[in-house]
Formats: sequence, structure tokens, C-alpha cells
Amino acid sequence: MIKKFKNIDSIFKSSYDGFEEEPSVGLWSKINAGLDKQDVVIFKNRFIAWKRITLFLILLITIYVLYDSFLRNQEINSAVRVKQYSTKTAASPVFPVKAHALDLRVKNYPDYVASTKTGELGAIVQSRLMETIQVGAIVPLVPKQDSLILGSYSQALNAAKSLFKNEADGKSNLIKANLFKPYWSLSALASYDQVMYRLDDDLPGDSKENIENRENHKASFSLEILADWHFKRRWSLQTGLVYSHVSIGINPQKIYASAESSGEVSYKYITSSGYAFIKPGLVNSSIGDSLSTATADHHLIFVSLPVRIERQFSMRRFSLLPSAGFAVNFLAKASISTVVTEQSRVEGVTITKLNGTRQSYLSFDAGMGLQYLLTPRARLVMEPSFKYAITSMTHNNVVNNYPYSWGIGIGAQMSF
Amino acid sequence: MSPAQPNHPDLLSMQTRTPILTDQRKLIKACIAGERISQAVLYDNYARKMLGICMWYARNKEEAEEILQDGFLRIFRYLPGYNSKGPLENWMRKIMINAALHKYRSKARLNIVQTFDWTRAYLTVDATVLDYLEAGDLLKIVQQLSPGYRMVFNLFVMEGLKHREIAKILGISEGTSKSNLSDARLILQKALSSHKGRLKLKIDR
Repeated sequence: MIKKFKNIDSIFKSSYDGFEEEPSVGLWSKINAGLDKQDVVIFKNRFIAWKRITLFLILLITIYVLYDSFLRNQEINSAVRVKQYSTKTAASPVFPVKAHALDLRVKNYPDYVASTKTGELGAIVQSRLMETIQVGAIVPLVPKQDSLILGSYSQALNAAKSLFKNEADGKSNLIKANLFKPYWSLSALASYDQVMYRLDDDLPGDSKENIENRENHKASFSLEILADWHFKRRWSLQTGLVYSHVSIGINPQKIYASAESSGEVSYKYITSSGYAFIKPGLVNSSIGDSLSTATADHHLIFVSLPVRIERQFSMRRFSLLPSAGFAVNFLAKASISTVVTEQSRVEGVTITKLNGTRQSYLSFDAGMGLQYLLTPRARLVMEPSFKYAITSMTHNNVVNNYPYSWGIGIGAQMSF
Repeated sequence: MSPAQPNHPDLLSMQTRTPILTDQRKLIKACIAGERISQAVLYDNYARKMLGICMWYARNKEEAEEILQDGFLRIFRYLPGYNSKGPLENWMRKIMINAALHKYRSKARLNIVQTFDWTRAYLTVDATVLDYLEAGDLLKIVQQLSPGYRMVFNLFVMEGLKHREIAKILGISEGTSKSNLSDARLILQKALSSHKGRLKLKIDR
């Protein structure tokens, strides 16, 4: 009996080992659709991670700001110390001290300095708490013997406290000294973008509707390196380089063979960004033949050169920076990857050159930056932005394409 | 192990146009990167063999294709974990069998336990009959087994697993595994015997 079983087992096993079966025609399309769903899930999960990181950062910053605010109030009330230094020589009977320095130091803020200027009736107290807010106050001084000291110690202390408190509160009742010097800052931002487009279609037919229906914009991103020239206390000019990666999913469609300008017969693949002729090796095509394409991934890479003007509104450590300007956007790369199926045959096609696109287009840029001062030179930056194409990115395509996008960037800025 | 040659001459021509697809490592790398073209090529290279495996674990071709579909989705999801040490085909086989087991478990509640008539099953099988049966005939016979019997039979006979391992995989006792295998064999014997007459005619011709 066992021998018989072994006999059965081996005959089944040998049949199993070499067995092959031809899959049904549409099976790859189903797997392809399943992979699309998987991609969406993977993308969402990835995005969830970013959301968590952002929320964690916001929470961390909020805690830091609250803690810092509490500490600052403590420091302003208790940690301001006034020291005075005097030289040994007297310059005049009124101002017997030629050089005199008043040093105000607050814990954790070594940039708080005060100095006298010879010939002035007092000391210009200069604060560099924030690079762009430099204010001064006259602290009254009176001569005493061979040195110049503060009119009264308590008076000076109160003046110093007032200076720091008012500055911290954003009040501007201090005497402002013209101490601003233009400076540069450099920002690096990574931005999550939601890109869309407006299509214009002067041609008869339903190209516009068809394209809008079969194309789905996926989440895109951009990386920005921006330089700011702070030419006024609250105004700056911004420029730099922006690398943008735009992803578009294209639904399955039928493409038709037509004659190229060279006379060759190829299948025309049309997108909102342009069109391409493809020649799969599956079949010999003649004009009017059709092929089915699977879901396609369409990627566009732009390098942009923006020029914006920015206005700064400061409140304590926060600054709000609305900006507006223009950008020239250069199309660096365009690609489409899809799979062509003909009956049970499958062939991958990658398009790397699109016809009907412009090398560059002009767009209007606007943003609303929110900055948080970490140190006198470093800031955290978060910037919602909006871009809208003024000129079309296509030329001689079935549609004119005016891309626009919303984005939110996060990064850092360093002042020099 | 090198990947199987493309089933279609057109795919061969595509591979010459896109050299990235000719190297299995590069193909795997491209599949991990989510390049749909490479994934289509991998599918085309292995779909026939993998469906061949799924057929033995399924009731019919439709169910086998469902397993194949799920299996390929798992393959593309878990491909980053493939360590390239063993042959890719073996790794893919394991994924396919796991997909089949998953399908079996998800339908386990719906599976009706096949009742078996012992008195009529105790039949012998002529070795000549087995020699003339084709793989497709044997497959059909296995597909007629109830899912539980089929799973145990396939895992024991085709994959060479031990009853202890099968019991763990299917969540049954070792005794049940042995009993299921024994029942499956007897049913197969009976089914083979029913082919005897028909095959005898075929042999005589």
C-alpha cells in the first residue's frame, strides 16, 4: 500500500514540478491596478510620517516658545545688570571721560551691548536681539569726578529694563537709532506641492475634457535654495533656485497610429504637457490602428528662477513675511512610463522627449513666510506659497497648459 | 539563477532596446523602484510558471489567477526584502504558496469538509494508467479534492514539508494532517481508478 502511495506521490510531484499555465489576457492589467492602489497606500503612509514629524516639530517649537517667553520675563526683571567702565583720562570738564562703555548683559543674550559715543549726552544702548530690529535708547549720564557714570544707577537700570521689555513686547516707544546695515540671508526649504493646471483648448473636439478626465495630479515636491538681500529694515529682495518635481498619473487609454512629419507611422500619446510618438515592437502599425496603454506615470522636472519682494512684520521672535514676484520656470526633464498591451503581449514604453512643450514659462509667485528666531542668526521658516502660470507651458499641443500650485515649505534661514 | 527568457519575441526586442531589463539585479532594482515597465517584464518572465504552481493549490483557473494576482502584488511589495542569495524563482514560489495559503485561510470558514466513503475508496491503481496520464489530468484530480485535503497533500507531497510543519502552517493538529493526507491519497486513488477504463482505450489505440 505504501509503495503504491509513493508511486502516486512521485507521479503527482513530477507533474507539479514542470507544470506551467498561460495566464488570462487581462491579468496584468488587474495586477497593474493593484500596484497603483499599493502606491497610493505607500504614498499616504509616507505622508503620514511627514505629518507626524511636522506636528512633532510644531509641538517642540511651541513648548520652546512658551518656555522661552517665561524665561525672558524672568530675565528681564531680574537678570539685567548694569556695569560701568571708565577710562582714567578725562577729556573735557563736561564729559571728563573720552571713551566710556556701558555694558548691559542679560543671561543667554550676549549680544545685548551698550556703548557710549563721545560727545553725546548719554549712552546709545543698542540691542541686537533681532538682526532687523536695532534700537537705541539714550541713557542719561552725568559726570562725576574723573569718570563718567550714570546719572543714577536705578535710572539706568530702569532705562535698560524698559528697553529690553519694550523690545520684547514689540513696542516701539524707544528712540530708534539708524543702526541698520543691509545684509544677506540664505534659506533652504523643502516643499510639499499640490500641482494643478488650467487647460485652454481652442481646437474642436473633446481633447481638454478627455485629458482632464484621464490625468490625475499626484503630490509633488520642490526644493528651494533662496538668497535674501535685506536692503531695508523690513524689506528684502529674494531670488535663488527652485527644483520642482511634478508627478501626474495617466489612466489607461487607447492610442492611435498616425503619420509623423517624417512620414513614419507611430502611435501618438497625448498629454496635457505635450505629445510623443511611440513605436512599440509588438505590431506593425498602419494609420488608424489602436493600442491599449496601461496606467502611466508622467514626471516633469522644472528648475525655476524666482525674483520676489518681501516685507517683514515682526512680533517678538516671530516674523511674518508676505512676498510676491515672478519666476521663470525651465522644463529640465519630461518623462512618461507606461505599458502597452496588445492581446496577451506586454511591452514597456518610456517616453523621454515630449513635443509641443515650451522650454520655459513665466509664473506669478506669492508666499506668506512665517519665521521663528532661534538665534540672532538662525531662523526656522515655514512658508505656504502659491504659483500661477502667466504664459502657457505648451506650444502647438492640443491644449494650452497653465500650471498652478499650492505648496507648504519648511526649512531654515541663516543671516550673514 | 538567470531569469526565464521572455515568452514573446517582442519583449526580447524590447530588452535589447532597454538594456536595464536584461540584468536580473537591475530588473529587481527597477521593480523595487516601482518602475512599472520592469514589473511588467518580471511578470512576463515568471507568470506562466507561477500560475502553474497556483493551479495545484486552487479549485480552478479563476481561483488560481486570483492567487497569482495576490502573489505578484506581494512579490512587488516584499521584493526589497529579497536578499539575492537564493534563486529569485524559488523565492517567488514561496510567496505564491503563501498567497495560496492566505486564500485558503480566508475561505476556511466556507470550506465544506468532504465526506469520504472508505468502503468504496480502497482501490488499487495500475502503474500503466499513471504513465499515460498527463499533468493536466492529474491537476484536475487534485483540484477535485476538498481545500483542506488539497492543502495537506500539496504541502506534504509537492513541497516536502513534514506533518509538524503543515500542522503549524494550517493551524491543525499533526494527527489531522496525517489523517487528511491519508484521506487525500485514497480519494486520488479512487479518482485515478476511474480514469482506468478511459485510458485503457487510449492505450489500445
